[in-house]
Amino acid sequence: MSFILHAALAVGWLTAAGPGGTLAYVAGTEQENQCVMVLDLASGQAVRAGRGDHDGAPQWSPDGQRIAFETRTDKGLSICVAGPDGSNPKILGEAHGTNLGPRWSPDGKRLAWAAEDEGGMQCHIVVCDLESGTETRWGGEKLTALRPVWLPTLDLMKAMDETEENKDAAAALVALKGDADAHGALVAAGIQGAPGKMITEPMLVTASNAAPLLALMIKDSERYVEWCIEPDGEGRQLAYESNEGGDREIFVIGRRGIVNVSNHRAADWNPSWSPDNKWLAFESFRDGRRGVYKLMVGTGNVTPLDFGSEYDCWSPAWSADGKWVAYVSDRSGTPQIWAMAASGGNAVQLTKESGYAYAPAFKPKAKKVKEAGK
Amino acid sequence: MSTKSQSRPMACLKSPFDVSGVALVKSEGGGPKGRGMWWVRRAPLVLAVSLILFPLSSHARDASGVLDLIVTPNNGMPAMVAPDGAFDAVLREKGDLRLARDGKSLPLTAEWTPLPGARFRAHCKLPADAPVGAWSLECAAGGKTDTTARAVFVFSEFPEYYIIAHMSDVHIGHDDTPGISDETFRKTLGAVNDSDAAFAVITGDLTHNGNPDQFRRFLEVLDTCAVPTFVCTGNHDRDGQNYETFFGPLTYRFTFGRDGYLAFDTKDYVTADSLGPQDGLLEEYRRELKPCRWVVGMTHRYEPLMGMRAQLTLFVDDPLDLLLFGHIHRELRPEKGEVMPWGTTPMVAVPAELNRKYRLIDMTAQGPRPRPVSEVK
Repeated sequence: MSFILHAALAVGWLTAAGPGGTLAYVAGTEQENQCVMVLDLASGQAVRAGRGDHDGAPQWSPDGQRIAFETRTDKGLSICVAGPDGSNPKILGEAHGTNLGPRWSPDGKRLAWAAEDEGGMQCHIVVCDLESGTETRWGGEKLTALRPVWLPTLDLMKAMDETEENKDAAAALVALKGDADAHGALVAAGIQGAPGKMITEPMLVTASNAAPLLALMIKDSERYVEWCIEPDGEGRQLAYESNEGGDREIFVIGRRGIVNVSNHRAADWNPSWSPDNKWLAFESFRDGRRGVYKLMVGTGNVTPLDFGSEYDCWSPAWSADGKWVAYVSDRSGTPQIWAMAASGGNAVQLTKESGYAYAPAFKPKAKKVKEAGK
Repeated sequence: MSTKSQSRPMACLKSPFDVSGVALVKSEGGGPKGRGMWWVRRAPLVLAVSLILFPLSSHARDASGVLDLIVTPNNGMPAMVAPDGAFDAVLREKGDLRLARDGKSLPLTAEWTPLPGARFRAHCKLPADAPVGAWSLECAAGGKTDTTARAVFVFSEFPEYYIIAHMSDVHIGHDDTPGISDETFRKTLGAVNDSDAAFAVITGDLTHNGNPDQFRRFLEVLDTCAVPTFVCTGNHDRDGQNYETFFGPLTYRFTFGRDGYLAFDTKDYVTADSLGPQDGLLEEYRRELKPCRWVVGMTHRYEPLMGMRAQLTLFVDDPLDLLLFGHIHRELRPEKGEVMPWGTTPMVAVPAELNRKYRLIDMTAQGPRPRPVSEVK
């Protein structure tokens, strides 16, 4: 009995102790000094990995050896790639005035981001080969898009079949498949329409072409505005948010077609896949203020992780083992990184920055890199 | 609520506190006789005399002018409330709260709620006979008293038709001739005082360099305004956290009668603080203001690629009825494609106050109706 009690206490203590591993985030008192930090959760030691000038949300390379983030240079908002200790920083994208949202290719050899040269709505997708430093515009000259994310595999593309209703869209997809096999593929938020009626919608983007994704599956897809498109780790499901239904909801494209998985009258947004691809952590206003929740994709069952009546929680990020979710909360007065066991429990404060801490990202487990497009 | 005011000639609305006959009838009946009229007629004079007699208390706060015990409301984010109504204050300590002016004080009863970050929210209830006009908010706690001038404005009622004044880009400290920006601002506020505006909004670049001295100069002139003044931060105001220490939150909302107003920060126009709390606050405030007749957004700068989630919330999912901003120091050029790309929200940019420009906007049953830009002679 005593042994069981002690074991339970030990488990409880371990749970309360918080996650292990390494966490990247940004810290600062204002955007001018906002800097990417890397925290060793075992020792509690944090080191500066960024440049400390408008640094953006850190993105780990698939092998966990480098971090990519936005940073301000004298050319504008550029992309920086550096080691987790800030070593060997390399600035990319300086040919463009603004570079946003770098994302790593599955093999860790390329970065994709959205670049904008002259203001307005002329944002396009850039892919940079990190070894050669060559930057290439993807999706064709006409594509205007934001927030590109690599598809880990082409399984989803290959599963899409032509039907009577989607002949035109399917023809566009066929044109993309060869390109995707050779160079890989991205999904991005394509900007469509004339001023006053513009929308964003998920686009499949390859080196030379692009095609709207939802047009392959539903009619009148252009009626809604989609954002935050995230493939799961296997590239077989896509989560995205849409205002279809009147407020922002999270939808998943997968084996069952398109499913509204969050389905609540309050806004739900910012889906983040668990490492086992079965859960989505997301932000929701269903209990009043912004909280962090998780849902089982297969059933739609939603479980709250953290929310409060006097504070907000946002930016959920899964630990590499899927046992913890880190997020930002201002429950202590200033926004800091907190974590909670994915199974529930007490919130654990991970950062105690003098200013704020945003955008947590756990270092991934090193895994065998995948060849592009395979 | 007055419905007759729809057809009222604009010029007859001489002061926001004169918006209804109800207040006058009320004061003649039970309350202090003629109080409303007295205030209406002499509001600018009282303010001017107060400023001369109590120059430091004009922006009170602490000795250096920054917010002290009372965070909100303040003279850049005041409370507008009807007698018998209530408003929320955020304070650093619990204390005794009262409204004060001209040596008179009006104790407030408050319900206290602890907030994160060692702050407290006081839900303050006004007595039914609270006289209309501008009041300082005082808090006594721990042996000291903090006073925030022009923090609470009691309105006899909130009419369906009213006027707001929009200014932007004051740039205090941008002086070819020392003090000229202060003097220009003083004249523009004088024009606003002479107008029928119920309140004024100033959408950023209050100062040129964002340093404490410029904020103090801004406050000194701001307090010559006879109507409530709501401010936003601009890119020139963000030297460290000076703006926050002088005015408090970057993102906030308020209502005037049935209309809602939502102020937000676009200092870093590319991301619009997409990593921080603002995206969530905008969704929360937008939903809170959903029942409003009209909802007007206020920010310093608009760019088509500013934080996308903020744009989806404000212009796509539940579009604002008007967006007010500045920054470009000129009017928009729709013929050159300067229109809101998403949804149907109309945008209005006001030329810089620095160049003696401001704009009045009629808030009507048909929607917000911006007038042509006015120039102070």
